[in-house]
Amino acid sequence: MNLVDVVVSVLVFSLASAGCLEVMASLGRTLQGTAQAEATAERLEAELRRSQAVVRAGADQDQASDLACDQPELLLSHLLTDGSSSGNGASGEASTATGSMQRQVTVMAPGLVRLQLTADGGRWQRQRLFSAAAYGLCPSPGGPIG
Amino acid sequence: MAAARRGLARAARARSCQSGFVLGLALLAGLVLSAGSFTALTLALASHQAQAAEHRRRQAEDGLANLGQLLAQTLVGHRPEELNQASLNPELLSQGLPGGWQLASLQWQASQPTDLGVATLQVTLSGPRGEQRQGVVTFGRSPQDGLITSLRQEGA
Repeated sequence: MNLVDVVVSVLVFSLASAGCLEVMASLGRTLQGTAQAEATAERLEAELRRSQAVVRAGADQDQASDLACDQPELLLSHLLTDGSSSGNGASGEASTATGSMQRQVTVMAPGLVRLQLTADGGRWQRQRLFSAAAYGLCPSPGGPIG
Repeated sequence: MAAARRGLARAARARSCQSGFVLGLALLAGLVLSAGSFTALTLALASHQAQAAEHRRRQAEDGLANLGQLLAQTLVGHRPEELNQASLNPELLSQGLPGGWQLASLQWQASQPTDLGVATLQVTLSGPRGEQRQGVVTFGRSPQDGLITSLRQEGA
């Protein structure tokens, strides 16, 4: 066994080991990131479903109220911000932040409101529109809405 | 003298075999480690792609649901025949659909004679990578005057 063989063997093994360790560490980080991203996606999905349920219940309760008929977008906005808004209702935009998730409610048009959820600094984003007509706000008399 | 020479030659051959064995072993180990690394990279790439595909699927779901809301806002109180793609506010449409997605088509499905109180609209969205996503939006309809009265199912 001469010195050159030993040096080449050690070099080959060291390079392969270092490369493999680097890749495994990278895989670990990727899998951890994937798990976090999945958890974030599930959190956004759950929040969207919760918001839909809140709006549905609120719309059923206040279906024919004055607010539902005069300014349905305000009723939707109020239901979506759940009274914990840090924004300005008059400007038609409100936003709240919970942990790494940001929640923004925007009045898009009369009777139409958008809920935008963002997480991880905007990397993950979901949005849903809520229209007064879809939730049967202020039904016309005699109209079989529901 | 000859015996000593033979002994030296045998020792040299043994040393040569040993060094070849060590080098071969190192190369084999390197090959195995490289194959492992390649597998790990493939796994990471597949995981990343699956995650991106899932995110696109959820965004397409948002787009279909939002389209259902916009259609409800446009159609409630009107007849199905009054709908055309131009009657949807393009600005609201672009804000309601996720980035890169567009409305490809809207098509009413024939109502069953037994269920005249329902109007079913088939919607198709096209995505940024050429993918298409279809959904069905169901509306409640007054059997008397044929007007759309409510949204029953948003783009499932």
